Amino acid sequence: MINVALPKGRLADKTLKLMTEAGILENVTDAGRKLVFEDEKSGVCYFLVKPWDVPVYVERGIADVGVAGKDVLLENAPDVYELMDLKTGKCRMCVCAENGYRDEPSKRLRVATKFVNCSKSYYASVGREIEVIKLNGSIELAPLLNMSDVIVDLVETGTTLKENDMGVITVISEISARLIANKASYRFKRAEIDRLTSKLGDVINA
Amino acid sequence: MNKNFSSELKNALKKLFSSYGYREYRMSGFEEYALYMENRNFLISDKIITFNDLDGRLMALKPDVTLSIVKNALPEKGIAKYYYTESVYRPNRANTEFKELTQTGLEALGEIDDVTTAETVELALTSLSLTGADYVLALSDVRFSEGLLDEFASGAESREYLRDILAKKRAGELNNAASNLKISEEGVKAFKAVISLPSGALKALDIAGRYAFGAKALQAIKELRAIVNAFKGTRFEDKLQIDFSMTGNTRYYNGVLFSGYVLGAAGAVLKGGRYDKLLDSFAKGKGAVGFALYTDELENLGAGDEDGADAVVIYKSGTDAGALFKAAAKLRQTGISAVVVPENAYNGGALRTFCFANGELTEEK
Repeated sequence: MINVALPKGRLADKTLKLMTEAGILENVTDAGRKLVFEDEKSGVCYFLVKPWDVPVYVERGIADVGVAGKDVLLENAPDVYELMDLKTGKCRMCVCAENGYRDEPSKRLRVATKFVNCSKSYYASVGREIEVIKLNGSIELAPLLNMSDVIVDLVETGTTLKENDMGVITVISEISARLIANKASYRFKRAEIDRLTSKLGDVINA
Repeated sequence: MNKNFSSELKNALKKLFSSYGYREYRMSGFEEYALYMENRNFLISDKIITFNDLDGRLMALKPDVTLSIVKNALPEKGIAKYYYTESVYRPNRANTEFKELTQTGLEALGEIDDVTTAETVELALTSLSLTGADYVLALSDVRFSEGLLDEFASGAESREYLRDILAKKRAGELNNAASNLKISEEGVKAFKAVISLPSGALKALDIAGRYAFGAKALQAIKELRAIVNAFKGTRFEDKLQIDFSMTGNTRYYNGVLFSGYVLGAAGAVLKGGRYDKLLDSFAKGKGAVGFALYTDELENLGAGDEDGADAVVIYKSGTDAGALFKAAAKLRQTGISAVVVPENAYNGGALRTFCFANGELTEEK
């Protein structure tokens, strides 16, 4: 039996569809309150958890493998293997600001974001001093209310930015869903993990 | 970890290491901070608990054992072999607070040869087997991974990126790397093959051998093959795997690296390798190989074997202590452990429960 941690929310539908197409899961939905599902036929036990918690379950070996966004992996740097780019849930981590914003290099930049570590790391790489304002949602509001100069956030279609008269200044990283594996599980359940990656690979590369 | 499992494992490891002629090494809880500052890249974290000793010297609670042994016990001639069980103080996984961790390990210092290295691997395998759980010892060699990076990386940025890809097994990012960092097609193929080596050690070495670049990398494959062959036909034959995702710090490590895993523990519980380069700052031309078993990582093993007594003897207030003790002693003579608990303090959970009333001991079903 292989334990798989799957993300609820934004990535859930795409991930579940991919897993179903690959023949790893059958008739699974994100709906309802049930969190643990066991498919004895395919030898897979899977549980739905918050996307940010997937690497925690995998790093601690509760799940052997899991699906996590590259954004979460970049931000938390869990000690896991990143076996595959699932090429779904694609978006970009970007620096965004109000349209017409002009950077003032002499000033310390105020950055509102959920991605504190990614922001620090990006601005350190370009030698810019910043003040990070950690927010948990509605990040676009921060520059509109003059709480920050820019935001670092995920941009999928750019619709939310447009609606708030904002735009992308810089792309920090391309993001997509990754198949991650616990380091010990990779050694003890190698055959099952290889079977899973092979099935997923067939669908992704079809 | 329950106390019995922990102490039994430590005792078994001591017995094992002694039987191979390793001598116990006891060290002070503190070292001068300068030792760790000078070798901070060798440490897992540069965060260290420091304090000023009464004479003003800046001291540290030891974050590592190997450095102390190398500094204090490196022999002038021959080989010195030591084992230890010590506490070290390091930041926790989330890097939010310090944690006391227990390490049991060994070091062989001096004129190290391939046989001594293979013996260390044998001791690592035997140590893992003593946990009672299924186990795997993954072998790597810094000379092989550095050969691969020398061959395909162009510049420091590309080298670090490729090292990270190897360490995290990020095969999916190789095509991007190929276009962004100008890695050749041959390079992409080599990294993909090395990242996904099969579990069988000899088969893995056959494949890795095709991507051994330079004399050092070839020597690494030769030595790894000799180690794997040394255990052919033994109970350890299927327990060795080859995995070059362990890249190691090349300022200290110069040869084989190993990581041990046991079923039921989330990460590596044993880490070690050949670290001659660390010794260069203490004495040129000496070798060293060793490993540490992180017994705290084994906390969840043997979880079913909880601490505590086999039976609980419940007594009422006002009970005659002498009579109660005699009854409990009689119970203990049958070979089970028993704890006496007042009626109002019993919380349940015992395997067997006895009541002591009116001078009689009766078991509750």
